[in-house]
Amino acid sequence: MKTVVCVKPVPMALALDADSGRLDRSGGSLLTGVDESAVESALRVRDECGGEVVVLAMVPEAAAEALRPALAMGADRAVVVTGAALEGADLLVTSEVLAAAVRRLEADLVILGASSGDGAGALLWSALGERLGLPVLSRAVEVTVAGGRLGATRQTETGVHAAETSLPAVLALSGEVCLPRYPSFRDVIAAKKKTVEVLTPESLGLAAADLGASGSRTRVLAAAPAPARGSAELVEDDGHAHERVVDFLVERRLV
Amino acid sequence: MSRRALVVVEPRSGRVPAGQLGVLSAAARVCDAVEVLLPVADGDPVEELAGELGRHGAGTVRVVTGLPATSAPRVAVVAALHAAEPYDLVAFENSSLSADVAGALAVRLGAGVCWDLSGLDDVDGELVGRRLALADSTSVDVGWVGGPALAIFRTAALDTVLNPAGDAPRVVPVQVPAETGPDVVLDETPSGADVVRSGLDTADIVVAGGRGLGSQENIALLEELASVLGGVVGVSMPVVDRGWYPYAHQVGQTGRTVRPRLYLACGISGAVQHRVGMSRSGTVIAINTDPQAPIFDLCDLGVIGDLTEVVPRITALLRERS
Ligand SMILES: Cc1cc2nc3c(=O)[nH]c(=O)nc-3n(C[C@H](O)[C@H](O)[C@H](O)COP(=O)(O)OP(=O)(O)OC[C@H]3O[C@@H](n4cnc5c(N)ncnc54)[C@H](O)[C@@H]3O)c2cc1C
Repeated sequence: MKTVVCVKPVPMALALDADSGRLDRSGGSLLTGVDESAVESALRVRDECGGEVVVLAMVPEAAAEALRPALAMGADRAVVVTGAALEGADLLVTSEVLAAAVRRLEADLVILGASSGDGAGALLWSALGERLGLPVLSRAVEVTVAGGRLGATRQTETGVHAAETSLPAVLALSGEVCLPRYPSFRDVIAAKKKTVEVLTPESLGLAAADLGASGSRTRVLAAAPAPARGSAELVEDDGHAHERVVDFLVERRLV
Repeated sequence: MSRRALVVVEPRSGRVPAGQLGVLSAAARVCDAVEVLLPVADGDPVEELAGELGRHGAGTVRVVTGLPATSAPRVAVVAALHAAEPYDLVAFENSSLSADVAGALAVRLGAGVCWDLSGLDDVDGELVGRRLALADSTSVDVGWVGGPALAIFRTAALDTVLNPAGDAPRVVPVQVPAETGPDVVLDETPSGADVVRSGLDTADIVVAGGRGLGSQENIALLEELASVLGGVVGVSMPVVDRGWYPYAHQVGQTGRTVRPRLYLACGISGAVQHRVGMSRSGTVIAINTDPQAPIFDLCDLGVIGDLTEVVPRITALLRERS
Protein backbone atom coordinates (compact mmCIF):
# COMPACT_ATOMS: atom_id res chain seq x y z
CA MET A 1 0.00 0.00 0.00
CA LYS A 2 1.61 3.25 -1.08
CA THR A 3 0.05 6.46 0.19
CA VAL A 4 1.01 9.85 -1.21
CA VAL A 5 0.10 12.88 0.92
CA CYS A 6 -0.10 16.16 -0.97
CA VAL A 7 0.79 19.05 1.30
CA LYS A 8 1.12 22.74 0.73
CA PRO A 9 3.38 24.68 3.05
CA VAL A 10 2.01 28.20 3.31
CA PRO A 11 3.97 31.42 3.73
CA MET A 12 4.33 32.38 7.39
CA ALA A 13 2.71 35.73 6.71
CA LEU A 14 -0.10 36.00 4.21
CA ALA A 15 0.26 38.96 1.86
CA LEU A 16 -0.32 39.64 -1.79
CA ASP A 17 2.57 40.80 -3.90
CA ALA A 18 1.73 44.35 -4.97
CA ASP A 19 2.97 43.91 -8.55
CA SER A 20 1.74 40.48 -9.55
CA GLY A 21 -1.34 40.33 -7.32
CA ARG A 22 -0.25 36.82 -6.34
CA LEU A 23 0.62 35.42 -2.97
CA ASP A 24 4.05 36.51 -1.82
CA ARG A 25 6.05 33.33 -1.21
CA SER A 26 9.46 34.86 -0.64
CA GLY A 27 9.45 34.34 3.13
CA GLY A 28 9.62 31.06 5.08
CA SER A 29 6.91 28.45 4.87
CA LEU A 30 5.19 26.14 7.34
CA LEU A 31 3.06 23.03 7.18
CA THR A 32 -0.46 23.81 8.34
CA GLY A 33 -2.35 21.81 10.96
CA VAL A 34 -4.53 20.50 8.17
CA ASP A 35 -1.51 19.13 6.32
CA GLU A 36 -0.18 17.56 9.52
CA SER A 37 -3.44 15.78 10.08
CA ALA A 38 -3.33 14.53 6.46
CA VAL A 39 0.14 13.11 7.17
CA GLU A 40 -1.16 11.55 10.39
CA SER A 41 -4.04 9.92 8.50
CA ALA A 42 -1.57 8.43 6.01
CA LEU A 43 0.63 7.11 8.83
CA ARG A 44 -2.42 5.45 10.39
CA VAL A 45 -3.17 3.71 7.09
CA ARG A 46 0.44 2.49 7.06
CA ASP A 47 0.17 1.35 10.71
CA GLU A 48 -2.88 -0.69 9.71
CA CYS A 49 -1.97 -1.98 6.23
CA GLY A 50 1.81 -1.58 5.96
CA GLY A 51 3.51 0.02 2.97
CA GLU A 52 4.98 3.43 2.42
CA VAL A 53 4.06 7.07 2.99
CA VAL A 54 5.43 9.69 0.59
CA VAL A 55 4.90 13.41 1.15
CA LEU A 56 4.48 15.41 -2.05
CA ALA A 57 4.47 19.18 -2.53
CA MET A 58 4.67 21.62 -5.42
CA VAL A 59 6.65 24.49 -3.93
CA PRO A 60 9.60 26.76 -4.59
CA GLU A 61 12.80 24.88 -3.73
CA ALA A 62 13.37 27.12 -0.70
CA ALA A 63 10.18 25.78 0.87
CA ALA A 64 11.27 22.12 0.58
CA GLU A 65 12.62 22.15 4.14
CA ALA A 66 9.10 22.79 5.39
CA LEU A 67 8.43 19.09 4.67
CA ARG A 68 10.93 17.89 7.33
CA PRO A 69 8.35 17.88 10.14
CA ALA A 70 6.29 15.39 8.10
CA LEU A 71 9.36 13.17 7.82
CA ALA A 72 9.94 13.51 11.56
CA MET A 73 6.37 12.35 12.15
CA GLY A 74 7.27 9.19 10.26
CA ALA A 75 6.70 9.69 6.53
CA ASP A 76 9.23 7.59 4.61
CA ARG A 77 10.34 10.20 2.11
CA ALA A 78 9.40 13.44 0.47
CA VAL A 79 9.18 14.64 -3.11
CA VAL A 80 8.98 18.27 -4.19
CA VAL A 81 8.25 19.46 -7.68
CA THR A 82 9.76 22.83 -8.26
CA GLY A 83 10.67 25.20 -11.05
CA ALA A 84 10.43 28.82 -12.10
CA ALA A 85 7.82 27.79 -14.68
CA LEU A 86 5.41 26.86 -11.89
CA GLU A 87 5.12 30.33 -10.47
CA GLY A 88 1.57 31.59 -10.70
CA ALA A 89 0.26 28.09 -11.43
CA ASP A 90 -3.50 27.85 -11.19
CA LEU A 91 -5.69 24.85 -10.49
CA LEU A 92 -5.22 23.30 -13.94
CA VAL A 93 -1.44 23.53 -13.86
CA THR A 94 -1.13 22.46 -10.22
CA SER A 95 -3.34 19.43 -10.76
CA GLU A 96 -1.42 18.46 -13.88
CA VAL A 97 1.95 18.62 -12.13
CA LEU A 98 0.74 16.75 -9.04
CA ALA A 99 -0.97 14.13 -11.21
CA ALA A 100 2.26 13.51 -13.11
CA ALA A 101 4.13 13.08 -9.82
CA VAL A 102 1.46 10.79 -8.34
CA ARG A 103 1.59 8.62 -11.47
CA ARG A 104 5.36 8.43 -11.20
CA LEU A 105 5.02 7.35 -7.56
CA GLU A 106 2.32 4.76 -8.42
CA ALA A 107 0.17 5.64 -5.43
CA ASP A 108 -2.68 3.44 -4.23
CA LEU A 109 -4.10 6.26 -2.15
CA VAL A 110 -3.66 10.03 -2.44
CA ILE A 111 -4.57 12.11 0.62
CA LEU A 112 -5.06 15.88 0.70
CA GLY A 113 -5.99 18.20 3.53
CA ALA A 114 -8.96 20.57 3.27
CA SER A 115 -8.46 23.91 1.61
CA SER A 116 -5.22 25.49 2.65
CA GLY A 117 -5.31 28.96 4.11
CA ASP A 118 -4.22 30.66 0.92
CA GLY A 119 -6.16 29.39 -2.03
CA ALA A 120 -8.60 27.02 -3.64
CA GLY A 121 -7.57 23.78 -1.98
CA ALA A 122 -11.16 22.62 -2.10
CA LEU A 123 -11.00 22.34 -5.87
CA LEU A 124 -7.65 20.63 -6.10
CA TRP A 125 -8.62 17.15 -5.03
CA SER A 126 -11.40 16.78 -7.58
CA ALA A 127 -9.19 18.22 -10.33
CA LEU A 128 -6.51 15.71 -9.34
CA GLY A 129 -9.02 12.85 -9.27
CA GLU A 130 -10.19 13.82 -12.77
CA ARG A 131 -6.62 13.95 -14.11
CA LEU A 132 -5.85 10.53 -12.66
CA GLY A 133 -9.22 9.03 -13.58
CA LEU A 134 -9.67 8.05 -9.93
CA PRO A 135 -12.71 8.26 -7.65
CA VAL A 136 -12.66 11.02 -5.01
CA LEU A 137 -14.01 10.94 -1.47
CA SER A 138 -14.02 14.48 -0.11
CA ARG A 139 -14.77 16.08 3.26
CA ALA A 140 -13.78 12.95 5.15
CA VAL A 141 -13.66 13.02 8.95
CA GLU A 142 -13.04 9.29 9.42
CA VAL A 143 -11.18 6.92 7.15
CA THR A 144 -10.96 3.15 6.77
CA VAL A 145 -8.92 1.12 4.31
CA ALA A 146 -9.73 -2.58 4.00
CA GLY A 147 -10.02 -5.22 1.30
CA GLY A 148 -8.97 -2.91 -1.51
CA ARG A 149 -11.66 -0.41 -0.64
CA LEU A 150 -11.61 3.05 0.86
CA GLY A 151 -14.35 4.00 3.30
CA ALA A 152 -15.00 7.43 4.77
CA THR A 153 -17.42 9.28 6.95
CA ARG A 154 -18.09 12.54 5.13
CA GLN A 155 -19.22 15.79 6.69
CA THR A 156 -20.95 18.16 4.29
CA GLU A 157 -23.66 20.82 4.30
CA THR A 158 -26.29 18.10 4.04
CA GLY A 159 -25.10 16.19 7.07
CA VAL A 160 -22.82 13.30 7.93
CA HIS A 161 -22.76 10.48 5.36
CA ALA A 162 -20.92 7.21 4.98
CA ALA A 163 -19.30 6.67 1.59
CA GLU A 164 -16.98 4.17 0.00
CA THR A 165 -15.15 3.45 -3.21
CA SER A 166 -12.49 1.22 -4.74
CA LEU A 167 -8.75 1.84 -4.52
CA PRO A 168 -6.75 3.47 -5.96
CA ALA A 169 -8.55 6.65 -4.97
CA VAL A 170 -8.17 10.26 -3.90
CA LEU A 171 -9.17 11.16 -0.35
CA ALA A 172 -9.70 14.71 0.89
CA LEU A 173 -9.99 15.38 4.59
CA SER A 174 -12.33 17.87 6.19
CA GLY A 175 -9.96 20.04 8.19
CA GLU A 176 -7.92 18.91 11.16
CA VAL A 177 -9.62 15.57 11.60
CA CYS A 178 -7.00 13.94 13.84
CA LEU A 179 -4.21 15.00 16.14
CA PRO A 180 -0.78 14.65 14.54
CA ARG A 181 1.67 12.47 16.46
CA TYR A 182 4.44 14.32 18.20
CA PRO A 183 7.92 13.37 16.95
CA SER A 184 10.61 12.47 19.50
CA PHE A 185 14.03 14.09 19.39
CA ARG A 186 15.33 10.88 17.75
CA ASP A 187 12.65 11.15 15.04
CA VAL A 188 13.69 14.71 14.32
CA ILE A 189 17.34 13.69 13.91
CA ALA A 190 16.37 10.71 11.76
CA ALA A 191 14.26 12.98 9.55
CA LYS A 192 17.36 14.96 8.64
CA LYS A 193 18.72 11.85 6.90
CA LYS A 194 15.58 11.03 4.95
CA THR A 195 15.53 11.92 1.28
CA VAL A 196 13.77 14.93 -0.13
CA GLU A 197 13.79 14.27 -3.85
CA VAL A 198 13.57 17.35 -6.04
CA LEU A 199 11.79 16.96 -9.38
CA THR A 200 11.13 19.48 -12.11
CA PRO A 201 8.20 19.62 -14.51
CA GLU A 202 10.64 18.67 -17.29
CA SER A 203 11.76 15.56 -15.43
CA LEU A 204 8.08 14.60 -15.20
CA GLY A 205 7.75 15.03 -18.95
CA LEU A 206 5.73 18.25 -18.83
CA ALA A 207 6.42 21.07 -21.29
CA ALA A 208 7.41 24.28 -19.52
CA ALA A 209 5.57 26.39 -22.09
CA ASP A 210 2.19 25.06 -20.93
CA LEU A 211 2.86 25.63 -17.26
CA GLY A 212 2.82 28.44 -14.74
CA ALA A 213 1.11 31.68 -15.55
CA SER A 214 1.31 30.98 -19.29
CA GLY A 215 -0.77 27.82 -18.94
CA SER A 216 -3.20 29.23 -16.39
CA ARG A 217 -6.82 29.79 -17.39
CA THR A 218 -7.53 32.39 -14.71
CA ARG A 219 -5.82 35.63 -13.93
CA VAL A 220 -5.78 38.26 -11.26
CA LEU A 221 -6.78 41.59 -12.81
CA ALA A 222 -6.46 43.82 -9.78
CA ALA A 223 -5.93 43.56 -6.04
CA ALA A 224 -6.50 46.26 -3.46
CA PRO A 225 -7.06 46.48 0.27
CA ALA A 226 -10.71 45.75 0.99
CA PRO A 227 -12.74 48.56 2.50
CA ALA A 228 -12.78 48.18 6.26
CA ARG A 229 -16.07 47.45 7.90
CA GLY A 230 -16.02 50.78 9.63
CA SER A 231 -14.52 51.42 13.02
CA ALA A 232 -16.33 49.64 15.75
CA GLU A 233 -17.56 51.23 18.92
CA LEU A 234 -15.79 49.46 21.78
CA VAL A 235 -17.07 49.40 25.34
CA GLU A 236 -15.40 47.81 28.32
CA ASP A 237 -17.80 45.99 30.60
CA ASP A 238 -17.99 47.78 33.94
CA GLY A 239 -21.22 46.06 34.84
CA HIS A 240 -23.29 48.21 32.48
CA ALA A 241 -22.20 47.15 28.99
CA HIS A 242 -25.45 45.24 28.55
CA GLU A 243 -27.34 48.54 28.65
CA ARG A 244 -25.29 49.86 25.74
CA VAL A 245 -25.92 46.64 23.81
CA VAL A 246 -29.68 46.88 24.27
CA ASP A 247 -29.72 50.59 23.36
CA PHE A 248 -27.66 49.78 20.27
CA LEU A 249 -30.16 47.09 19.24
CA VAL A 250 -32.95 49.60 19.64
CA GLU A 251 -31.08 52.28 17.63
CA ARG A 252 -30.61 49.84 14.79
CA ARG A 253 -34.21 48.64 15.05
CA LEU A 254 -33.07 45.08 15.72
CA VAL A 255 -35.49 44.60 18.60
CA MET B 1 -22.93 40.30 -27.56
CA SER B 2 -24.76 37.18 -26.63
CA ARG B 3 -23.55 35.16 -23.70
CA ARG B 4 -24.83 31.75 -22.54
CA ALA B 5 -24.81 30.61 -18.94
CA LEU B 6 -25.59 27.38 -17.12
CA VAL B 7 -26.39 27.61 -13.41
CA VAL B 8 -26.20 24.34 -11.50
CA VAL B 9 -28.64 24.20 -8.59
CA GLU B 10 -29.34 21.64 -5.86
CA PRO B 11 -32.87 21.79 -4.47
CA ARG B 12 -33.18 20.95 -0.78
CA SER B 13 -36.44 19.57 0.58
CA GLY B 14 -38.22 20.44 -2.66
CA ARG B 15 -37.06 24.06 -2.78
CA VAL B 16 -34.22 25.96 -4.41
CA PRO B 17 -32.43 27.79 -1.56
CA ALA B 18 -32.28 31.58 -1.76
CA GLY B 19 -28.48 31.57 -2.13
CA GLN B 20 -28.75 29.55 -5.32
CA LEU B 21 -31.40 31.93 -6.66
CA GLY B 22 -28.82 34.64 -5.92
CA VAL B 23 -26.30 32.85 -8.17
CA LEU B 24 -28.96 32.67 -10.88
CA SER B 25 -29.66 36.39 -10.51
CA ALA B 26 -25.93 37.17 -10.73
CA ALA B 27 -25.63 35.11 -13.93
CA ALA B 28 -28.76 36.64 -15.46
CA ARG B 29 -27.33 40.11 -14.92
CA VAL B 30 -24.42 39.47 -17.29
CA CYS B 31 -25.78 36.81 -19.66
CA ASP B 32 -28.68 36.95 -22.09
CA ALA B 33 -29.40 33.22 -22.31
CA VAL B 34 -29.52 31.55 -18.92
CA GLU B 35 -30.13 27.84 -18.42
CA VAL B 36 -30.46 25.99 -15.13
CA LEU B 37 -29.51 22.38 -14.48
CA LEU B 38 -32.09 21.14 -12.00
CA PRO B 39 -31.61 17.71 -10.44
CA VAL B 40 -34.89 16.47 -8.96
CA ALA B 41 -36.07 13.49 -7.01
CA ASP B 42 -39.35 11.68 -7.65
CA GLY B 43 -42.16 13.74 -6.21
CA ASP B 44 -40.36 17.11 -6.40
CA PRO B 45 -42.71 19.86 -7.67
CA VAL B 46 -40.91 20.38 -11.01
CA GLU B 47 -43.40 22.92 -12.41
CA GLU B 48 -43.24 25.03 -9.29
CA LEU B 49 -39.43 24.89 -9.11
CA ALA B 50 -39.15 25.83 -12.79
CA GLY B 51 -41.51 28.76 -12.27
CA GLU B 52 -39.43 30.04 -9.38
CA LEU B 53 -36.26 29.71 -11.48
CA GLY B 54 -37.95 31.53 -14.36
CA ARG B 55 -38.86 34.45 -12.13
CA HIS B 56 -35.16 34.72 -11.26
CA GLY B 57 -33.93 34.82 -14.84
CA ALA B 58 -33.85 31.24 -16.18
CA GLY B 59 -34.94 30.92 -19.82
CA THR B 60 -34.47 27.16 -19.94
CA VAL B 61 -34.61 24.64 -17.12
CA ARG B 62 -32.93 21.30 -17.83
CA VAL B 63 -34.42 18.73 -15.51
CA VAL B 64 -32.52 15.60 -14.61
CA THR B 65 -34.19 12.91 -12.50
CA GLY B 66 -32.61 10.42 -10.15
CA LEU B 67 -29.08 11.79 -10.17
CA PRO B 68 -27.07 10.34 -7.24
CA ALA B 69 -25.67 13.00 -4.89
CA THR B 70 -22.11 12.46 -6.12
CA SER B 71 -19.99 14.62 -8.39
CA ALA B 72 -19.15 12.32 -11.32
CA PRO B 73 -22.64 12.19 -12.90
CA ARG B 74 -22.99 15.98 -12.63
CA VAL B 75 -19.63 16.48 -14.31
CA ALA B 76 -20.74 14.13 -17.11
CA VAL B 77 -24.07 15.91 -17.60
CA VAL B 78 -22.57 19.41 -17.69
CA ALA B 79 -19.75 18.32 -20.01
CA ALA B 80 -22.29 16.73 -22.40
CA LEU B 81 -24.47 19.86 -22.44
CA HIS B 82 -21.42 22.05 -23.02
CA ALA B 83 -20.30 19.80 -25.88
CA ALA B 84 -23.72 20.11 -27.52
CA GLU B 85 -23.79 23.90 -27.29
CA PRO B 86 -20.97 25.69 -25.46
CA TYR B 87 -21.58 27.91 -22.44
CA ASP B 88 -19.63 31.07 -21.66
CA LEU B 89 -20.34 30.78 -17.94
CA VAL B 90 -21.07 27.82 -15.65
CA ALA B 91 -22.02 29.01 -12.18
CA PHE B 92 -22.41 27.27 -8.81
CA GLU B 93 -23.14 28.11 -5.22
CA ASN B 94 -20.31 27.39 -2.82
CA SER B 95 -20.83 23.88 -1.44
CA SER B 96 -18.88 20.65 -1.00
CA LEU B 97 -20.63 19.14 -4.01
CA SER B 98 -20.06 22.22 -6.20
CA ALA B 99 -16.35 22.22 -5.38
CA ASP B 100 -16.09 18.54 -6.33
CA VAL B 101 -17.98 19.15 -9.59
CA ALA B 102 -16.21 22.37 -10.58
CA GLY B 103 -12.69 21.07 -9.90
CA ALA B 104 -13.24 18.03 -12.12
CA LEU B 105 -15.06 20.06 -14.76
CA ALA B 106 -12.15 22.52 -14.97
CA VAL B 107 -9.86 19.67 -15.98
CA ARG B 108 -12.36 17.99 -18.31
CA LEU B 109 -13.09 21.24 -20.19
CA GLY B 110 -9.66 22.85 -19.80
CA ALA B 111 -11.42 25.78 -18.19
CA GLY B 112 -10.48 28.25 -15.47
CA VAL B 113 -12.39 28.31 -12.22
CA CYS B 114 -12.69 31.27 -9.85
CA TRP B 115 -14.14 30.63 -6.43
CA ASP B 116 -15.57 32.51 -3.50
CA LEU B 117 -16.96 35.23 -5.76
CA SER B 118 -19.17 37.89 -4.26
CA GLY B 119 -20.07 39.46 -7.58
CA LEU B 120 -19.76 39.20 -11.35
CA ASP B 121 -19.65 42.10 -13.77
CA ASP B 122 -19.30 42.79 -17.46
CA VAL B 123 -16.34 45.12 -17.95
CA ASP B 124 -15.85 46.14 -21.60
CA GLY B 125 -17.32 42.88 -22.79
CA GLU B 126 -15.25 40.69 -20.44
CA LEU B 127 -16.52 38.84 -17.38
CA VAL B 128 -14.87 40.06 -14.19
CA GLY B 129 -15.34 38.23 -10.90
CA ARG B 130 -15.07 40.04 -7.59
CA ARG B 131 -13.80 38.28 -4.51
CA LEU B 132 -12.41 38.99 -1.09
CA ALA B 133 -9.21 37.16 -0.26
CA LEU B 134 -6.84 36.72 2.68
CA ALA B 135 -9.36 36.89 5.49
CA ASP B 136 -11.40 39.45 3.57
CA SER B 137 -8.54 41.95 3.89
CA THR B 138 -8.00 42.19 0.14
CA SER B 139 -10.47 42.61 -2.67
CA VAL B 140 -9.41 40.93 -5.88
CA ASP B 141 -10.77 41.16 -9.42
CA VAL B 142 -10.35 37.95 -11.33
CA GLY B 143 -10.79 37.03 -14.97
CA TRP B 144 -10.87 33.94 -17.14
CA VAL B 145 -8.72 33.03 -20.13
CA GLY B 146 -10.92 31.30 -22.71
CA GLY B 147 -14.17 29.61 -21.79
CA PRO B 148 -16.28 28.50 -20.23
CA ALA B 149 -15.77 30.64 -17.16
CA LEU B 150 -16.41 28.40 -14.16
CA ALA B 151 -17.59 30.47 -11.19
CA ILE B 152 -18.34 29.48 -7.60
CA PHE B 153 -20.16 32.08 -5.55
CA ARG B 154 -20.20 32.90 -1.88
CA THR B 155 -23.96 32.87 -1.87
CA ALA B 156 -24.55 34.89 1.28
CA ALA B 157 -23.06 37.84 -0.59
CA LEU B 158 -25.64 37.81 -3.36
CA ASP B 159 -29.00 39.46 -3.72
CA THR B 160 -31.80 37.71 -5.52
CA VAL B 161 -33.43 39.70 -8.26
CA LEU B 162 -37.05 38.84 -8.82
CA ASN B 163 -38.83 39.54 -12.07
CA PRO B 164 -42.47 38.63 -11.33
CA ALA B 165 -43.34 39.03 -15.00
CA GLY B 166 -40.58 36.65 -16.09
CA ASP B 167 -41.75 34.26 -18.78
CA ALA B 168 -42.27 30.65 -17.81
CA PRO B 169 -39.01 28.92 -18.78
CA ARG B 170 -38.72 26.13 -21.30
CA VAL B 171 -38.50 22.83 -19.38
CA VAL B 172 -36.35 20.18 -21.05
CA PRO B 173 -35.52 16.73 -19.67
CA VAL B 174 -31.86 15.65 -19.62
CA GLN B 175 -30.64 12.06 -19.79
CA VAL B 176 -27.93 10.90 -17.41
CA PRO B 177 -25.04 9.61 -19.54
CA ALA B 178 -24.54 5.85 -19.11
CA GLU B 179 -20.83 6.17 -18.44
CA THR B 180 -20.11 8.65 -15.66
CA GLY B 181 -16.66 7.58 -14.54
CA PRO B 182 -15.36 6.05 -11.32
CA ASP B 183 -18.00 4.89 -8.87
CA VAL B 184 -18.51 6.29 -5.42
CA VAL B 185 -21.13 4.66 -3.24
CA LEU B 186 -22.89 7.09 -0.94
CA ASP B 187 -25.08 6.11 1.91
CA GLU B 188 -28.03 8.32 1.03
CA THR B 189 -29.45 8.47 4.52
CA PRO B 190 -27.43 11.12 6.27
CA SER B 191 -27.26 10.95 10.03
CA GLY B 192 -27.25 14.73 10.27
CA ALA B 193 -30.24 15.76 8.16
CA ASP B 194 -31.07 18.32 10.82
CA VAL B 195 -28.85 20.79 8.96
CA VAL B 196 -31.74 22.01 6.88
CA ARG B 197 -34.01 22.16 9.89
CA SER B 198 -31.63 24.16 12.08
CA GLY B 199 -33.04 27.32 10.50
CA LEU B 200 -29.59 28.90 10.51
CA ASP B 201 -29.52 29.62 6.76
CA THR B 202 -32.59 31.79 6.82
CA ALA B 203 -32.25 33.23 10.32
CA ASP B 204 -32.64 36.99 10.71
CA ILE B 205 -30.77 36.97 13.99
CA VAL B 206 -27.96 34.60 14.95
CA VAL B 207 -26.67 34.38 18.52
CA ALA B 208 -23.33 32.63 18.17
CA GLY B 209 -20.91 31.20 20.71
CA GLY B 210 -17.37 29.86 20.54
CA ARG B 211 -14.75 28.20 22.67
CA GLY B 212 -15.04 31.13 25.06
CA LEU B 213 -18.28 29.57 26.34
CA GLY B 214 -16.01 27.44 28.48
CA SER B 215 -18.52 24.64 28.98
CA GLN B 216 -21.53 23.01 27.41
CA GLU B 217 -23.83 24.36 30.15
CA ASN B 218 -23.24 27.90 28.93
CA ILE B 219 -24.92 27.10 25.61
CA ALA B 220 -28.12 27.71 27.57
CA LEU B 221 -27.13 31.40 27.89
CA LEU B 222 -27.11 31.64 24.08
CA GLU B 223 -30.39 29.76 23.75
CA GLU B 224 -32.13 32.06 26.20
CA LEU B 225 -30.92 35.22 24.46
CA ALA B 226 -31.79 33.74 21.06
CA SER B 227 -35.28 32.99 22.23
CA VAL B 228 -35.80 36.54 23.52
CA LEU B 229 -34.49 38.01 20.25
CA GLY B 230 -36.33 35.52 18.04
CA GLY B 231 -33.03 34.22 16.69
CA VAL B 232 -31.17 30.97 16.10
CA VAL B 233 -28.04 29.70 17.87
CA GLY B 234 -24.85 29.42 15.83
CA VAL B 235 -21.50 28.05 16.98
CA SER B 236 -17.85 27.92 15.96
CA MET B 237 -16.13 24.67 15.05
CA PRO B 238 -14.48 23.92 18.42
CA VAL B 239 -17.94 23.92 20.01
CA VAL B 240 -19.05 21.21 17.58
CA ASP B 241 -15.79 19.30 17.95
CA ARG B 242 -16.32 19.14 21.70
CA GLY B 243 -19.83 17.80 21.20
CA TRP B 244 -21.43 20.82 22.90
CA TYR B 245 -23.81 21.55 20.01
CA PRO B 246 -24.85 19.86 16.74
CA TYR B 247 -22.87 20.37 13.55
CA ALA B 248 -26.01 21.71 11.87
CA HIS B 249 -25.40 24.96 13.75
CA GLN B 250 -21.75 25.45 12.79
CA VAL B 251 -20.96 28.73 11.05
CA GLY B 252 -17.93 29.02 8.81
CA GLN B 253 -15.92 27.47 6.05
CA THR B 254 -16.91 23.90 6.84
CA GLY B 255 -20.28 24.86 8.26
CA ARG B 256 -22.96 27.24 7.08
CA THR B 257 -22.65 30.69 5.55
CA VAL B 258 -25.14 33.04 7.12
CA ARG B 259 -26.25 36.56 6.38
CA PRO B 260 -28.56 37.62 9.20
CA ARG B 261 -29.49 41.21 10.05
CA LEU B 262 -27.78 40.73 13.42
CA TYR B 263 -24.87 38.44 14.28
CA LEU B 264 -23.91 38.36 17.93
CA ALA B 265 -20.52 36.67 18.43
CA CYS B 266 -19.84 35.60 22.02
CA GLY B 267 -16.48 34.10 22.93
CA ILE B 268 -15.48 33.75 19.29
CA SER B 269 -11.99 34.95 18.31
CA GLY B 270 -12.84 35.65 14.66
CA ALA B 271 -10.59 33.17 12.80
CA VAL B 272 -10.68 33.39 9.00
CA GLN B 273 -12.53 30.11 8.70
CA HIS B 274 -15.26 31.44 10.95
CA ARG B 275 -15.39 34.89 9.35
CA VAL B 276 -16.07 33.58 5.86
CA GLY B 277 -19.32 32.21 7.23
CA MET B 278 -20.59 35.42 8.81
CA SER B 279 -18.74 38.45 7.45
CA ARG B 280 -21.75 39.51 5.34
CA SER B 281 -24.04 39.89 8.33
CA GLY B 282 -25.81 43.23 8.62
CA THR B 283 -24.84 44.28 12.14
CA VAL B 284 -22.18 42.42 14.12
CA ILE B 285 -21.87 42.68 17.89
CA ALA B 286 -18.95 40.91 19.59
CA ILE B 287 -18.43 40.03 23.23
CA ASN B 288 -14.93 38.90 24.11
CA THR B 289 -12.58 39.13 27.09
CA ASP B 290 -9.57 39.74 24.86
CA PRO B 291 -9.38 43.34 23.57
CA GLN B 292 -7.02 42.11 20.81
CA ALA B 293 -9.45 39.50 19.46
CA PRO B 294 -9.67 39.82 15.64
CA ILE B 295 -13.46 39.70 15.82
CA PHE B 296 -13.34 43.31 17.07
CA ASP B 297 -12.00 44.32 13.63
CA LEU B 298 -15.20 43.37 11.90
CA CYS B 299 -17.88 44.22 14.40
CA ASP B 300 -20.03 47.33 14.74
CA LEU B 301 -20.22 47.18 18.52
CA GLY B 302 -17.65 45.41 20.67
CA VAL B 303 -17.97 44.60 24.34
CA ILE B 304 -14.75 43.76 26.14
CA GLY B 305 -16.09 41.52 28.86
CA ASP B 306 -17.02 38.07 30.11
CA LEU B 307 -19.86 36.56 28.12
CA THR B 308 -21.09 34.56 31.10
CA GLU B 309 -21.87 37.87 32.79
CA VAL B 310 -22.83 40.13 29.90
CA VAL B 311 -25.10 37.74 27.99
CA PRO B 312 -27.49 36.94 30.87
CA ARG B 313 -27.71 40.65 31.70
CA ILE B 314 -28.67 41.47 28.09
CA THR B 315 -31.32 38.74 28.20
CA ALA B 316 -32.71 40.02 31.49
CA LEU B 317 -32.83 43.64 30.35
CA LEU B 318 -34.57 42.73 27.09
CA ARG B 319 -37.16 40.72 29.04
CA GLU B 320 -37.67 43.62 31.39
CA ARG B 321 -38.21 46.09 28.56
CA SER B 322 -40.55 43.98 26.49
C1 LIG C 1 -9.98 23.77 7.06
C2 LIG C 1 -10.55 24.43 8.27
C3 LIG C 1 -11.89 24.65 8.34
C4 LIG C 1 -12.46 25.29 9.44
N1 LIG C 1 -13.79 25.52 9.45
C5 LIG C 1 -14.32 26.23 10.48
C6 LIG C 1 -15.71 26.58 10.50
O1 LIG C 1 -16.48 26.21 9.63
N2 LIG C 1 -16.16 27.30 11.53
C7 LIG C 1 -15.37 27.72 12.56
O2 LIG C 1 -15.87 28.40 13.46
N3 LIG C 1 -14.07 27.39 12.58
C8 LIG C 1 -13.52 26.65 11.58
N4 LIG C 1 -12.21 26.32 11.62
C9 LIG C 1 -11.45 26.59 12.86
C10 LIG C 1 -10.95 27.99 12.98
O3 LIG C 1 -9.67 28.07 12.39
C11 LIG C 1 -10.80 28.41 14.45
O4 LIG C 1 -9.98 27.48 15.10
C12 LIG C 1 -12.12 28.50 15.17
O5 LIG C 1 -13.04 29.30 14.44
C13 LIG C 1 -11.92 29.11 16.53
O6 LIG C 1 -13.13 29.04 17.23
P1 LIG C 1 -13.39 30.00 18.47
O7 LIG C 1 -13.34 31.40 18.02
O8 LIG C 1 -14.63 29.51 19.11
O9 LIG C 1 -12.19 29.64 19.47
P2 LIG C 1 -10.90 30.46 19.86
O10 LIG C 1 -10.17 30.91 18.67
O11 LIG C 1 -10.21 29.66 20.88
O12 LIG C 1 -11.48 31.77 20.53
C14 LIG C 1 -12.14 31.79 21.76
C15 LIG C 1 -12.35 33.23 22.12
O13 LIG C 1 -13.13 33.33 23.29
C16 LIG C 1 -12.64 34.40 24.11
N5 LIG C 1 -13.08 34.13 25.48
C17 LIG C 1 -12.60 33.22 26.36
N6 LIG C 1 -13.32 33.24 27.50
C18 LIG C 1 -14.28 34.18 27.34
C19 LIG C 1 -15.34 34.66 28.17
N7 LIG C 1 -15.58 34.16 29.38
N8 LIG C 1 -16.11 35.65 27.69
C20 LIG C 1 -15.91 36.17 26.44
N9 LIG C 1 -14.93 35.75 25.62
C21 LIG C 1 -14.13 34.76 26.06
C22 LIG C 1 -11.15 34.36 23.89
O14 LIG C 1 -10.59 35.63 24.16
C23 LIG C 1 -11.06 34.00 22.41
O15 LIG C 1 -11.02 35.15 21.58
C24 LIG C 1 -11.64 25.68 10.53
C25 LIG C 1 -10.28 25.42 10.46
C26 LIG C 1 -9.72 24.82 9.36
C27 LIG C 1 -8.26 24.59 9.32
